[in-house]
Amino acid sequence: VGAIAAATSQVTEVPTDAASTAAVYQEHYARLVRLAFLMIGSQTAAEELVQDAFVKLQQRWRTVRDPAGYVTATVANGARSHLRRRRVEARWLGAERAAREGRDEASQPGPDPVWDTLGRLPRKQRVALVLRYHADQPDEEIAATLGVRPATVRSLIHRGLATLREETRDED
Amino acid sequence: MRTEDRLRQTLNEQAADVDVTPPPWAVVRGRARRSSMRRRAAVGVAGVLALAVGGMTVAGFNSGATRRVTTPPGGEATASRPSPTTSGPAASAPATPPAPSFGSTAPASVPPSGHAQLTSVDVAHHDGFDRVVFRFGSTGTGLPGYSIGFARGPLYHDASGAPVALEGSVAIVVKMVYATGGGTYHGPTTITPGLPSVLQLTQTGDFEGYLIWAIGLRAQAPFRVSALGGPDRIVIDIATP
Repeated sequence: VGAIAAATSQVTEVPTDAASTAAVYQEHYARLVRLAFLMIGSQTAAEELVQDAFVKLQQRWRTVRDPAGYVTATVANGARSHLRRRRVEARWLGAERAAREGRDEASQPGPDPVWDTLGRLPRKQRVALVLRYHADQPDEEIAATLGVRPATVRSLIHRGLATLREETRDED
Repeated sequence: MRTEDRLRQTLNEQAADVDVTPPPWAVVRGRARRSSMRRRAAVGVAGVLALAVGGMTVAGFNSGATRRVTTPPGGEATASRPSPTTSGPAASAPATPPAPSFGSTAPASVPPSGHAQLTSVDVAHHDGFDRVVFRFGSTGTGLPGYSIGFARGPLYHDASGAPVALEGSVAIVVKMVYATGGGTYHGPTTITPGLPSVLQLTQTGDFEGYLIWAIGLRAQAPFRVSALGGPDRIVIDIATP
């Protein structure tokens, strides 16, 4: 009986993945939702992405070395998938929706031309720009997240900035 | 102002506008637990045409997307009617069989009483999904049993073995058992709606009680299945991108 009791107590002493994930969650949730929002422009979808990222983190807790980095990368890649799906959807439903609502949403600029232009950039450029200029990540880290070479990241950022410069020139 | 600084400023302003209240961790964790349970359930039935066991599974869209749905012939929706597997000699048996009395050496078998009769196949786009509806006539046995899941290899026509030509990058195979379209289905056996998700449907078999259709999708997408009565129909909703 004593041996069984000892074994049981050993089992309960193992720290749970949930408790550790919860700590990371408390610390980074709000920051990640803001980051995801900047990448995809929808808060509801941003919260979904971030929650999914934490769910993944908990499932892989034992193999993840840098939890904060892992969730950030997961959110960035989730944002890219989201943007890809949304573009496919827009291509299919855009014409129909525009006809129904009698206007083209994209042709109505919002108050901030930089934000508007950011929303029209290719998704990799947008994600790279947000990681660089909001999360202040170095090229190497962005490259690892996007699965490309650092030189490609520099090129993505360069092209993104060039488009921003071009599109917002009139307002200066 | 430099473009970089304008961008930095815009990002900060936009981020500051986001009002975030983290939901309790337990709620998010609940999502994790549910999703892993679904995964385990999916593994349990995947790849098995378990028509003889299990109740009807009707679930919402699942991000896993490779789930397979199986029901016995005459599923939940037809519970009030004697189903093909229990008609015949066994139909009079009580719900809880008594201990067997070993009184006979005669063979035991339960012949099917008939077939579900397909009358129409419809496909249309709805908000967020494409819907495929297999409708069955009142002259048959109502709803057939079915097994619905993504194809795990090339498709071949039932009986002939000829390869199936189907548009799309992946296919959902809809296998209906004790079902036929013979004499009741007069529509085309290949339908090409070209919807956001569903590119083409084709009948790949109507042979020896197995009625099989394949749905060609643009890309793998989550789907959900409902079996409805009055009129009897199997409804497959496939999420659109």
